[in-house]
Amino acid sequence: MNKKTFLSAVVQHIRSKEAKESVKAELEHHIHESSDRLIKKGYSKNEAEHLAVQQMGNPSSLGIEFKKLYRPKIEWRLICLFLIVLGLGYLPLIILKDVDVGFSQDLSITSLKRSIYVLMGILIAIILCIFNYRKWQRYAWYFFGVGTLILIVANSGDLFESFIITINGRPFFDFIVFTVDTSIALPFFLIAWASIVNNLKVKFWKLCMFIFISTFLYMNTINISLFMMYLFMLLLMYLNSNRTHKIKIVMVSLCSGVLAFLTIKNMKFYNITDITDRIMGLLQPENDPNGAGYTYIQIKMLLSQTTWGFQPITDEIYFSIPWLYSELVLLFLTYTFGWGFAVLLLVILTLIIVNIAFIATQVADPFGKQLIIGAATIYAFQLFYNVGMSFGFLPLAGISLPFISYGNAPIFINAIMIGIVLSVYRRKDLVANMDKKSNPSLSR
Amino acid sequence: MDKKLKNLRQSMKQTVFKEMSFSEKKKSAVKREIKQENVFLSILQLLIEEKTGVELLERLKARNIMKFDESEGFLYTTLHQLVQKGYLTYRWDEHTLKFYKLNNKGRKCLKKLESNQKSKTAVLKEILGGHLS
Repeated sequence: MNKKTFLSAVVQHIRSKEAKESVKAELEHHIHESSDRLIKKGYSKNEAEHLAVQQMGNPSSLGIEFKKLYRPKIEWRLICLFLIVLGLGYLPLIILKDVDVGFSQDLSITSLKRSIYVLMGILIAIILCIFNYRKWQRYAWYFFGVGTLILIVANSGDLFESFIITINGRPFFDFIVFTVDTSIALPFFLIAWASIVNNLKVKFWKLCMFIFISTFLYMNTINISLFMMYLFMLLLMYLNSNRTHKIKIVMVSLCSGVLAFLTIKNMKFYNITDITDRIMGLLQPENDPNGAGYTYIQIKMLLSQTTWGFQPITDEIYFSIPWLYSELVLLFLTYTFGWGFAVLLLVILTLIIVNIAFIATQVADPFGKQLIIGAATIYAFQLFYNVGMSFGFLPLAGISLPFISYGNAPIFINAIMIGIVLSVYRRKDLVANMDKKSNPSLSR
Repeated sequence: MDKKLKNLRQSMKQTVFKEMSFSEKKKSAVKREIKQENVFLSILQLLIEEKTGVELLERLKARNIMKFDESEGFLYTTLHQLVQKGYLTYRWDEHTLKFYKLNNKGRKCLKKLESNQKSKTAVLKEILGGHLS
């Protein structure tokens, strides 16, 4: 068998182009060295090549081994957790069916809506998983541009009246069939920053400028929870980068953020009374039991009545607490199914974070790692804040429980995160440490 | 009963098993299986300093490890597998040569193997997931 035939037989079943080239190059070099040695021993060029190839072993067996090694990797545990949680999200719907809640007629429509969102979420995750995430790295600034554009449009107020609606002061994009808030800008920023933060050519001051622009736009949309999520994501990605003095910078940013908040609060520059009211409501609900403190008192009461067993929720209770179906759905489920169920649900939701963290350790590519950290932060922030909120530890904010709260955003945004993580995992073993400068044939 | 079984054994030896012989090749293959453990220990030891696949093979032959005779390609499948499991790192240099080297996880594993003579097989099974080929 000659060298060419041997090599193509070995690599023919490898799916990834990058891996194919890499394996071919390595084996070719080996055969080269072997045949050189044989030529020195006195063999002819042809004989040497054939003998060297023979020494390599059976090409089909080798082909099978390499095929197995370079299969796209699928993290089934994460997929299972994802599907389980999507399924658990139907529970609130099922309980509500028994309660005569006035809009039980709409319940079938809500179920249908949720099923559509779930299917779309799964589809989004699959599509993202299949994409070659490495290709996104080059378009980082375009992603940043799209994210910024979304925020600018959201801030434009009357200009796009036809498809921007405001709910509670926050802008929403109305696409007739469904509405999304500015959280759809987050994935774009995630991808953009995952690349830019690691790109040492972008100087610190430039980075600050762009962070400031996007932060400012986010603040203007008065979606404080999204704004905080965005900042957290940035901070953690920065910590994971290899920029100088990163720990000091992060600490300084955190401190200055807190300071800024305290100063603005007294200036009444931005309308932060809403936020301060909520914080005061949490800390001293008795001061304003019918206003800012109301919900916190209701939460405490409901939690005190929660047992380890099942208890159906009554109309009275259901209507006494706002958001029981959306942001406070965890409270709803805890009361209805008991503490045991709550623990189980939280364990499953936390396992997703654990799994993503585990995946992060297996990924060598820095861009991939940043993507995973950003995605994990966005998901974890939602989970932890929502849990804190539902059990009365944190001031109320518009942060939903991933996958389970009512609406399309909890499903879509987190499906995107899962899709990105799966996409990075899929290619984790492919040519991570390549130095493209030394091997131009392998740069893509 | 015993006698009948002995007779069966005799007759089979003369008929079915007549053609079979425990050839030298097979003997050495079995010995190689027994020597499995030494191969991986050697690879890990040799890669404390970075080497290419060709160099590694040379050194393995010097240690009298014949496992990759006539199947040199499988050294590379083994190396790639160890990379994926996180015990080795690699780099390409300007001459398009690929150098392998033990990394932190690999070094820890080597320490474990070298100090833990008895349960070597257990540790190796752990590394390669039962895929000792």
